[in-house]
Amino acid sequence: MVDIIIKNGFVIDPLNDIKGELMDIGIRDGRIVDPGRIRESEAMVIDAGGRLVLAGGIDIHSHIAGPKVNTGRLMRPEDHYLTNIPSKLPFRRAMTGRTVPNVFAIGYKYAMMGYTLVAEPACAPLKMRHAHDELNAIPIIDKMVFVLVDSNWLALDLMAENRKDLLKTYLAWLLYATKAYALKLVDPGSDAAWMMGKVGLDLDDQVPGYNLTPKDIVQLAGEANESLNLPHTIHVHCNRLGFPGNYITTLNTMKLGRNFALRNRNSIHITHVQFTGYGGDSWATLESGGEAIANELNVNPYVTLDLGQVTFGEATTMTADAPFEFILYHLTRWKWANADIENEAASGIVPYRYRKKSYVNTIQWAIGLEVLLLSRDPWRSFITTDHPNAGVFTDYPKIFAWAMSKKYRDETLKEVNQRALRRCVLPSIDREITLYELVITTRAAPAKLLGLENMKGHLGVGADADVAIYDIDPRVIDPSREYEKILKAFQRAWCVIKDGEIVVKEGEIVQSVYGKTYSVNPYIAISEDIRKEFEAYLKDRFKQYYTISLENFVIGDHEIKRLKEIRVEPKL
Amino acid sequence: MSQEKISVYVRLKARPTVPIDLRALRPDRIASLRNSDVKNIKIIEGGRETVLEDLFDVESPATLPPNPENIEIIVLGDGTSKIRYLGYKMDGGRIIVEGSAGPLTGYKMSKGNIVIKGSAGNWLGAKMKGGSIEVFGDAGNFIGAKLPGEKPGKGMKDGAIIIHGNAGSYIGLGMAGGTIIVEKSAGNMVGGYMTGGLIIVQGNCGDFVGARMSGGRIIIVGGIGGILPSFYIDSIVGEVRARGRVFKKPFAIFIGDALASGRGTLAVSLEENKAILQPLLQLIEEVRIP
Repeated sequence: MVDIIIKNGFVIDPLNDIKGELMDIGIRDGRIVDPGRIRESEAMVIDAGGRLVLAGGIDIHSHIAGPKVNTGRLMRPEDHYLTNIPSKLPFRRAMTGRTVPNVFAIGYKYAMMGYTLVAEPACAPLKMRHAHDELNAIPIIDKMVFVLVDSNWLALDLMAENRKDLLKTYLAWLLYATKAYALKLVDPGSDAAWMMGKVGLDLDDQVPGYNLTPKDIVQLAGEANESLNLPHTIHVHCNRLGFPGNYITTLNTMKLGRNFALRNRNSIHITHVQFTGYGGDSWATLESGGEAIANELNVNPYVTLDLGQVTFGEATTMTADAPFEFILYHLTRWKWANADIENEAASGIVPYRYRKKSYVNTIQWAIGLEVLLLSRDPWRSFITTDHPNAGVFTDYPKIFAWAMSKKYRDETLKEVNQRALRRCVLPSIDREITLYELVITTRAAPAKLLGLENMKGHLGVGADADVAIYDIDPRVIDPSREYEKILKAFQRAWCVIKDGEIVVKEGEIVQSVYGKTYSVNPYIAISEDIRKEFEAYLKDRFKQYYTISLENFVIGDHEIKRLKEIRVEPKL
Repeated sequence: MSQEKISVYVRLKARPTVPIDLRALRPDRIASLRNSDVKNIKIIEGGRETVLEDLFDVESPATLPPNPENIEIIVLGDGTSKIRYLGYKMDGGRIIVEGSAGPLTGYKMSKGNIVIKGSAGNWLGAKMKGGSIEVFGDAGNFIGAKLPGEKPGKGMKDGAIIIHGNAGSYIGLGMAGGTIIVEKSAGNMVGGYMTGGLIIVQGNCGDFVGARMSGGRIIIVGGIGGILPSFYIDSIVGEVRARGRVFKKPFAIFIGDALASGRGTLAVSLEENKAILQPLLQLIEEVRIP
């Protein structure tokens, strides 16, 4: 591996408090080193003069792998017809698909945008082997997967019996057994209800068959997450997602974070808040609840959130929130896939098209931007499209430009549904986020949220050598007026370095490498007595609930291409 | 004003063993080109890009006229059924195949005329927007169809396809307009998911006629495999006329498909389908009694 030195780039690195300096960056053996230690005559020199040098981008919520993505591919052949890009061997393989691309396209397109770490946010434990097989096939980017726990009968049993230590041990074991990185709660409890034929639960409704409410589930899972000292917080998709008037539920869920915070950091992550930020009481009277959510975010330090920003155009909604997809299918009346996964979760897939002239879609578009622009702390709000639910990830540059340019927003405001604009505050917001804040929300803050701030999201000595160089000079360009340049620059990075290898040059893939899969293993650090008690309990219950044997459930280290296990010290 | 037709002869040098993608060879693309440029048109043989001259003998005048309407491309030789995407998005002029044509002939064409002296493959005239296609032999499946996964109405929009032989299954799948005429028999699922247009099958056809159709018109002059229970019988008529063709025999007219809240009409010949239609005819007589 040849040493690399990036010269004269304009560096923004919020984690090291660099707000834009001309700096050299040295890279050796896949890590960032002091440029003084590298001899220029023996290294590859990249002249980044007049260009922006950032750490690789991090996407904390994007559905890129797992059985639901595969089913999405199967049920949407029309998504692939005009998108075939032939291979260019030996640099890259063929790409296809727009909202549900093939695995190669996912890796390459993320890399071409300068993203180097992507989290797949939901997979049922039983389907985790499939998700890992797919993640193994995604080139270039680092990846991780979150495991669904909210409607898992084993977890619900322990919650209902209030056996907190056993619950914590079970969740620790689940993370270890499925090689997952964090706990995901999707519409807590509602999949358990869905299997009993009930559509949707609010935060205080009873989960059928259990002496529990979704509030208890969030609380107990959050408590377990904090005392296991996991690097990420619980990742919550709120109840009543997709129902008008659901922003109250979201606010109440956000307030729960305070109850179980143990560490000196936030304790709950609310995901794709656009889908759970609706005011009004029906689709016809839908209003934006973005302002209320942003206000709560500003006063509640325990919460982080990501947007799920609508970008208009084709999308494929896929979620473990099966009841919501059932309702969406009856609105769109085209195609619908639905699945129940034994005793763990359910899921659904419905293709959807976001139209600018639609009243509802315009409100949805406005909510995401309102939350982003009204939240004062860029460290706690993240840009996502919940790919492919609200838009495809290749549209991220559009969101950057909307956030950074009032002019671009105004131009889009002219094209959208005008009646809807009277129901949201977006037209009156003048704020334009700066490039520094953008770098925080796409690099530094996600790394911190995922607990990887010592190796990802910055360019300090010792960090992983994931660098994205964009052909844009912040000293010359005014993003608020020249938003086309922002769009163009962030769509195709000028150069991307992954683990010390140059993978993208002038927007084209020049090399395919394979990134790491991050997982977390709190189980190994739990005391042997508790583990013994738990294993005896698990053996019995597992046999009772599952169709497969326990030995076949656990995913071995050898099944993952490049496993990077994060060790944690649980505080039990 | 009208000039004489200029013919461009394209003859296969040898029998091909792999599919040949000939989408670049169409009258509007080669209009006003020189002979040497025509020979250098890019085509794909298997997965490999090459030029027309490599696989075909090209005979054309030194310079072609600027108006595509005056150009006629004649494809000859042994093994023309390996040629696919002939007349892709064609916008005028005429293509004649002196043999069989492969799949996706006339895909998305909007104007002009394709004549196939032999048989045609699958997806003939799929998603076409205009123009006409005439096949003297048989044709495959999915004629004038939409692609899988697309919404109803994304198939053929306008134009005409006439097949003098038999046709396969799924003809007119999701079509929204235009005419498909099959002079002999057709397979299953004639006019499935159609939202408009006209399909005439002068011979027999298989099961699931007009399944999930929501508009348009299907005329079956021969026997059918069965009528779906989601079609309502409307009336009996003595003759049916469509596009200048008159079928002088009694037809049963159905309206459907109720599953798609459809208002399509399906005319089925009475004589050939007595056994199938008998129970339904009694329904009509009961209505007439008062």
